[in-house]
Amino acid sequence: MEQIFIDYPILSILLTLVLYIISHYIYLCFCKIKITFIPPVIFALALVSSFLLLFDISYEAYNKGAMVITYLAIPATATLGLVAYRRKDLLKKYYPIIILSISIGIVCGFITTFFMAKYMFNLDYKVMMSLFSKSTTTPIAVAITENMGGLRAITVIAVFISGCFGAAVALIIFKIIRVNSPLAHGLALGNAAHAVGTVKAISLGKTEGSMSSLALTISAFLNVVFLPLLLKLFTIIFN
Amino acid sequence: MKKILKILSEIFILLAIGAISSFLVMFFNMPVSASVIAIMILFCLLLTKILKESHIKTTGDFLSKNLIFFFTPAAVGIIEEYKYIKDHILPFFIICAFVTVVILITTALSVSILEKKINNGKDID
Repeated sequence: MEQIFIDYPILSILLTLVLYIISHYIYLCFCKIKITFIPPVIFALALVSSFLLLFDISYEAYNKGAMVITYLAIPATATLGLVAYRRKDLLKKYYPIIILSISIGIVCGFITTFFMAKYMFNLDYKVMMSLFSKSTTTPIAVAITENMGGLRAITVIAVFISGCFGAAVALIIFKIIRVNSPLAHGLALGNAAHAVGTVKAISLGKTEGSMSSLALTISAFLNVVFLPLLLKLFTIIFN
Repeated sequence: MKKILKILSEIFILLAIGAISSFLVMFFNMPVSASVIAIMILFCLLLTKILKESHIKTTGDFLSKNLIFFFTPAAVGIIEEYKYIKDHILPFFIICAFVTVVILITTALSVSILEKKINNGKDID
């Protein structure tokens, strides 16, 4: 079976497409019974992974064809620019708020990670370095981590957990802290849960989707700038 | 036929933006990823009216609703990395989950407080 996937890489594209469509219908079924908190990426991931496990296909063999999809992710993500553009009036009116609140989120996230990793779990220095960038998209997070001397594998998983968990609990959290503004929902989702959160935000509405796409972009830049600076500051103070 | 040509041209625009952003990231050795640059390029093209919304609307809406498809292979790759950390998954999970909640709360609260200040207490969308 694995040999077929190596010989015909186009099969893995087909497989991903078919399983994605099936996972989309499973997601809709879950929505019907009011279980909306599981992010759709989990369903797609579960289907593809179980298929690979079931037929004993290695990831390398699968990825020979599937990497084409990953290449196409860049032009596909570009469409978030269109989503963001639809509410450009909000950006014009609220840009100081947007930048300030994203920065506050990043700084608070950094401080919490630092203290939890250092004092609560006593994590290894290298492991701790790998956790700071987890609220950005994977390629950026990996770049930041490698820059700060962390481990790639940990960052990738941390980014994934944060995205899925953030998208899953966001609505409950907003209810608990009684924030109803779509502006706040979008920005928080984009800042905390990157692309997975943005997909969730797009499903909530136009304003949420637009603000989440903006937050994703702005937070990527702010993380690149802030994280190394914050790290220097904190290692000076707490060592 | 006209519709097919339009969709093809929309795909062409998106692919071109993707290619340009990958090139920029490689050439200038930028610390941010190509997809973020691609979002910015499309956003700026729309803002400066070089592109109209109608130029990429059909494909843009379709792709932004089906973004998950493009992330699936990368997400499957993450399962591969899982074996490196499976002994310490609990502290990771706790830190990631807790910090994500902290970022959600701080961002959402600061937006809503500042937003109310700007609008003098009026809640608008």
